[in-house]
Order: sequence, then structure tokens, then C-alpha cells
Amino acid sequence: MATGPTNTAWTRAALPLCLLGVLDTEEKSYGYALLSRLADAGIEGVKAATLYPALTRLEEEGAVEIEWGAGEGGPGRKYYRITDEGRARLHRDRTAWAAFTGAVASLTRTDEPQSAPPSAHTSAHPGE
Amino acid sequence: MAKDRKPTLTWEREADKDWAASVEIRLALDHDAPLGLADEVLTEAHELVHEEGRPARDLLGDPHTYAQLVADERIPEEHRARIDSHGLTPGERLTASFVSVGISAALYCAFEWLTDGLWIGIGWPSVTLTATVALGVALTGATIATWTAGRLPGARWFAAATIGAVLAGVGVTSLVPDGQLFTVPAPVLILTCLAVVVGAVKFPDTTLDRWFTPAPVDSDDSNDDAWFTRLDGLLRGRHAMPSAQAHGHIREARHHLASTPGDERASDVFGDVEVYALRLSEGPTRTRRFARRQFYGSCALTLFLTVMLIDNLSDPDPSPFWLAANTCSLAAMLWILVNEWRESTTRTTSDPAGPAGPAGSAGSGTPTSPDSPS
Repeated sequence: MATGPTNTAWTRAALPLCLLGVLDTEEKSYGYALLSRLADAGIEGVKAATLYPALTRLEEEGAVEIEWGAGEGGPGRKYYRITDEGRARLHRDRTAWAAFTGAVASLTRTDEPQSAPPSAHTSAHPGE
Repeated sequence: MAKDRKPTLTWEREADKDWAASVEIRLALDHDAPLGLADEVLTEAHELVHEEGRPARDLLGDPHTYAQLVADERIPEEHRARIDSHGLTPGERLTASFVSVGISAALYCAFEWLTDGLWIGIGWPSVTLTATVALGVALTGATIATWTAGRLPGARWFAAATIGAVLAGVGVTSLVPDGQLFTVPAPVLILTCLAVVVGAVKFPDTTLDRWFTPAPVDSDDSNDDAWFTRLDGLLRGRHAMPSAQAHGHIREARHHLASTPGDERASDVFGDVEVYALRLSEGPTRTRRFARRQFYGSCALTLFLTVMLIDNLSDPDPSPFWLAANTCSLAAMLWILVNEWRESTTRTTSDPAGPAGPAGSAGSGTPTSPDSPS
């Protein structure tokens, strides 16, 4: 699945929640790996220029903490780990997100069974 | 954008009127908001307040924070990325320095006219002192403008030149012979000062901004280094980020670039360096960072006023006017210092638990600005 060009705003809005969700499943992770995880899950429109500011904001808000790992012949790697505050926020936002998507689904639901399938030519959005 | 006549809003409560005025002022002064944005936002707020029947502060929160959220959401990133915490570009900063000193000097000349008469005596000490002040102000303005442009080594050179010029000027002033060379009518001096103000205002800020902006780097091997150096300068200079934090972002970005397959450049991966620096610095600690920087500047001014007051008090025949003026200024600065310290150490309402943003504001922690292709 790929996000279409019109979904940029959705991706940005859901990015902190997605990042917390990924970090909740791992002990710790780093930017490039998080980007790969997002892409594997179908969220391919996220660029580094959007990812790192989002992680920085989560860190400043206390939802994640950072740890520097040793570099291998290059600069050290910065790891992110979810905090208790981040987990609490994840649970809160997950519930809110489910309610929101449910509300949107109820408003956009159609009774026509043969509704058009997702466009086959929807491609990964070139950038954010 | 076609600008219609400014709408006249009638606020039912005096507190709402004050709230609207605060939002308008903050948008203009802190964010260099485009024409018409404040009117648009306040019209929406007015409708909401009228429909809900509740005070604007209860509905929309603190006016300072609300203006910040409006700026984040409705002023394009490219515009916000090029201004500093006071909503000024480097060129506008320099212009502001000359305007401030021109007006101050004009007021000083007017004061001299009132106290000593129409003709003001000019001697070597006043010539050298005036030249020192003019040079000092120009170099200080250039230091601040260069710093907010993110060109830190240049700013250090300008700062060193400022100190050197002031010390040299003071030294020369003490060595030149006393005595009057000629006299000048005070209005001529006032007009000269005002001419400086007009000249500073009329000089195009875009030209000044070009002087302070590094030229784009060609696509050679040094390209990425130049990009990262620029990012470091912008984070620390324009966005008041501590060195350790800025260096952390650089290390992380370098690591990401090293992991990226192919030979993409930093500008390909992270986009425009000024926009990326803005994005990294827009977190909830932004207000505290700028307040801390403001606090350090105020400390320097307080020290200067203290020295001036000591000089007044040690004078055997002190001027009552300057004694009173310096005492009041020092008291005001101490009050400002306390407030700035508090602001720099307390969490702001832009933190996750803060009030809701303007209509349609995303939830906690959501990047608030529209994403643009990069």
C-alpha cells in the first residue's frame, strides 16, 4: 500500500502516533530504521526532512528519550526509546485515533457494494 | 492578495478587545505576518466568541501562544524559516539597529538644545566619541545580523571588531585636546540623525539580506560539509539552540546520509537548509531557548546601566536628570531580568498539554505546519 499525493497531511498528522507505535514494539530504534519500518508498513511518503523534526519534537515533549551508540568509523548513531510518558500518550492517542477514523468511516460509508477499488496507479508520493 | 478594507470588529468585552490587540501585535512584531492574516484570524475568533458567548482567552487560550500557533499553521515555512525570534530577517535587524540609534541620537540632540541652547559646541572629544558610537552601533548591528543569519565565525569577527573599535575610540577620546572647534545649530544635528533613520529605512532590506546570506555551494565534494556547517550555524545562531543539541542533530543527519544508498546530497535528503533548521527548532522548548538568550542580553545591558549609575554617583556634581533616568532604567531592567529568567525556566503552554490551537489545530505533538515538498 502506498500513500497517495492527497494523503500528505494525514501522514504528517499520524506520524508521531506511528513512531510511538513502532518504538513501543522495540527496545530502541534509530531514524533510518524507523523510516524503513514506516515504509514496510505502507507509509512511504515520509522523508528524513519530516521524520527527524517529528522525533525531535517527541523528545522535547518527553515521549521518547535518546541514547547515543558508538559509531563504526563514522558518527555515532542516535537511538530513540519510548518513555512511560510516551506509552501513556500512545494509548491515549490510539484510542482517540480509533474514534476519529470510526467517525470518518461512518460519514463516508457507502451502501454500494461495488464501490471502486483503490486506484492502481496510486504511487508513493514524491516527497513531503 | 487583494487587501480589502480592514474589518471593524466590535468586541463585547474589554478583555476580548485586549486579547485581540495582543494577538494582532504579536503576529506583526514576532512573526512578520503577511498583510491581512491578523484581520482574517481575528474575524474568525470574533465569530467564535460571539457564537459561544465565552471570553476569547477561555476559548482560544493565551494570546501570545495563539499568535504562535497561527504563525505555525498559516505562515508558510519558507517565510518563517528566514526570520528570527523577533520576526526580522538579518537585513531588517541591521536596519532596526540604525533606526534605534538614529532616533536615540535625535532625542539626545533635542535634549541638549533644551538644556544648553540652540548652538551646540563641537570639539575633538565629541567628534571622536560620536564616531566611536556610530562605528560601535554599525558593528554591533552587523554582529547581531550575522549571528541571526547563522554565520557564526563572521559574527565573532564583527564582535571582536566592535570591542576593538570601542576601546580604540575611548582611548583616542581621552587623548585628543579639549576645546571647541566650531558650533552647530541643534536642528542641523537632529536632521542629520533623522537622515540616518530615513536612509536606513529606505535602503532595501533584500540587498542587506543578500549580503548576509552565503552563496549557494556548487555540487562538489565540499557541498555536504557546507550544508551541515550552515545547518549548525542556523540552529545555534537563528534558533538559539545549545551547541550540544545542534551538534547532535548534525551527527544524526550525517549518519542518516551515510546510510542512504546512492550518492544523494544532504540538500536532496533534507531539503532547504533554512526550512530544515526551522523544523528541528520548532518544538516546545523554543520559547524557553529564546527567553534564555534574551536574558543574557539583558544581563549585559544591566551591567552597562550599573556602570553608568556608579559613574553618576561618583560625580561630585551629578546631573539630577541623568541620575533619575539611570536609576529608573536600572530598576526597569532588573524587573525585566526577573521576568525573563522565569520565562526561560518554566514550561510554556505550547507543551503537549497546552490549550487547543486555532481552528483545526492538530492534537498533541503533531507537526503544525503544512508540509512542503523538499
